[in-house]
Amino acid sequence: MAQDEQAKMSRDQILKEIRSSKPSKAPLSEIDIKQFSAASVLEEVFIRNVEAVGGKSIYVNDEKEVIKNIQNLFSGAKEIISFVKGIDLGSTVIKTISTARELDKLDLAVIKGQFGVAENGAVWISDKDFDNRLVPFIATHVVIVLNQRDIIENMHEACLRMSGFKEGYGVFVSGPSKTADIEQSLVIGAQGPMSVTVFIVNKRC
Amino acid sequence: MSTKVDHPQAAEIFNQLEERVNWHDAALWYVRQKRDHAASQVKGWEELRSLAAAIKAHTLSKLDEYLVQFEEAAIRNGAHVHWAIDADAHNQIVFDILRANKARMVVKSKSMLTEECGLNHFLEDKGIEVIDTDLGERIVQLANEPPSHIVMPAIHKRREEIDELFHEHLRTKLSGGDAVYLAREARKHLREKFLTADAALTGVNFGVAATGGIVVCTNEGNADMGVHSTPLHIACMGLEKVIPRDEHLGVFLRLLARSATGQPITSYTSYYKSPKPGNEMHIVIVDNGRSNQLRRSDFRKSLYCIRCGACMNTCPVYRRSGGHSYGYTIPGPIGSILSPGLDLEKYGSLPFASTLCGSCSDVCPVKIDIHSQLYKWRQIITEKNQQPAFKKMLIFITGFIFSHPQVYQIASNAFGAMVRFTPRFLINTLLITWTKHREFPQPGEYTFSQWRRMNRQK
Repeated sequence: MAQDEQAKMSRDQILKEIRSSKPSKAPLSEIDIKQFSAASVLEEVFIRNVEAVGGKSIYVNDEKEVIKNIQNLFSGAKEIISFVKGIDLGSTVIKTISTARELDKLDLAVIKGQFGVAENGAVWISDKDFDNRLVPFIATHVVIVLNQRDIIENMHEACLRMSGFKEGYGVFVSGPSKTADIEQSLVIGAQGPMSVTVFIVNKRC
Repeated sequence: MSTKVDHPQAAEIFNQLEERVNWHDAALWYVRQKRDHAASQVKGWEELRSLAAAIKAHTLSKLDEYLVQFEEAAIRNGAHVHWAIDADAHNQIVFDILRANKARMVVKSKSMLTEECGLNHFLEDKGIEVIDTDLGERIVQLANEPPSHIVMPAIHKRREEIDELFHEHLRTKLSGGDAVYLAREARKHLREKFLTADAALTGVNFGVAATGGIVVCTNEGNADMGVHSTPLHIACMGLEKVIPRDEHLGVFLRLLARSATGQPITSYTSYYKSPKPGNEMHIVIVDNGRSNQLRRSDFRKSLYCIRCGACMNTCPVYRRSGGHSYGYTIPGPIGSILSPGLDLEKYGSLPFASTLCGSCSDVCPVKIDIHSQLYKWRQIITEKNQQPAFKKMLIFITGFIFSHPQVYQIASNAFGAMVRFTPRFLINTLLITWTKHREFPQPGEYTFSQWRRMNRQK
């Protein structure tokens, strides 16, 4: 096909241009991540940064406390999806495979976080933690449940830890969606969730 | 075809409202200060910058190999990969994909590359509706303006103007510029667009060669809202966005948001590898002058840029002339070293839109020697272009004076006397442009040589 030929020509021409224009070889050294490590209590730094990025964090002992807290904080939530074992809020109405239009009614999504990053309050979640990629974004409120022992220091460790993840999609979530596009005034709740609450569970959840 | 950008002229227009210039200046300086604070919180910030620059230097030295590796991995993941030599090819590829999927409305998250290629207008002319979904981008889209900043597209707009714009286009009530109200209304408006769109367009912050995945950073969650609510994702990526491995992502993600807005990271750092079953994902790799820039050894480091905008926020000229005065998609210091590579004639005034103070180079997270490159472009432009006879003469005289110490002595005494005794209105006309907005400083009582003779050679 002419179009395919055209495409291959573009590719080959670009690569040829690069080969003739690129600089001589520059080495790629190993990253010594220890030089970026500062002594600190990781949970404390994490909690501080979750607040700093507009999120909320709550320290709990077990999943029962998570449920109790959710019921208090989100008493008005009707449509809820929980992807976390042991946190069944009994009101899951929306089937997880549904259209964007249906998911738009979602009040709350509860998701298990794989690990948290102390330096920026971000939590890594991927396809295996939800069965519809839209859920963490379209839900009005998002709750993330995280084991305390899964808090790591910085993005160097984080990228090593998620590196090579097998799923098709993953995301670092650092607080709720936000914007400062109107005269630099921070508004929490832009096109995604209005709030993100991270529960840090003391023991295995 | 191209009209010359006249930065001094455009800056002059921007400077007509002093209060507004001061506000713009302060708004950006505030962001610069937030960046400083964020950087100071990171142990080894300077080492991190050096590391980032080294990774970029290495990647450029093997760019062809990494791009091929990236392509192979992306195809294995189930994505389609396209290559575009220039803006026209890019626009056509995107249009063809949309047409093949019968897409009529697309939601787009921020991509400076698509701005660079003029994609929106191209698609609109073909009958496809394009909705920018980043709030700042939506604001400038409604105002029918280009972004004035690469991270904060509507930084030049006052809240009252946004209020009126929304009132006109989104039928909101006039709120006096209530940011929360306006953002909520935009949320409702955009939510409806996400739910009805046929395809999502995004840019790419990083393409990881080893995994074939692309990483997109947003605060609003708009890239993900678009990608996950539509069946088709088209990601447009400049070919310099590729990095070798995931571990390198860690370095750049620590630098990017801190340098851009002073945040420790954006709200969402989304890593797309494969489309969800039944969906399609396309990656368009774009050259559009980049391989040419790679050939220029003095300027290739400009391809390190990760588009944080820190050089704009710190630039005394950008802050006081506004993004639109540059007449190029990427304004400010980095735009002024990228654009002459594309069209020296058109963008020839931009490398002069700088005091060469070097602050841009100091804040650059990937250590691009921006101010040195500005200086090098000036030399090229000055050689190429016929300079005004008056300027040539002045340069010749200055050169002569500085290379003849005795002449210099006489001239500096004469000049001091001249400035001291000439009436102000005459100096202001003599030295025309420089004294337009400032006073010529009064010379001291003695020249340095006179002072030295009196004090040091007794």
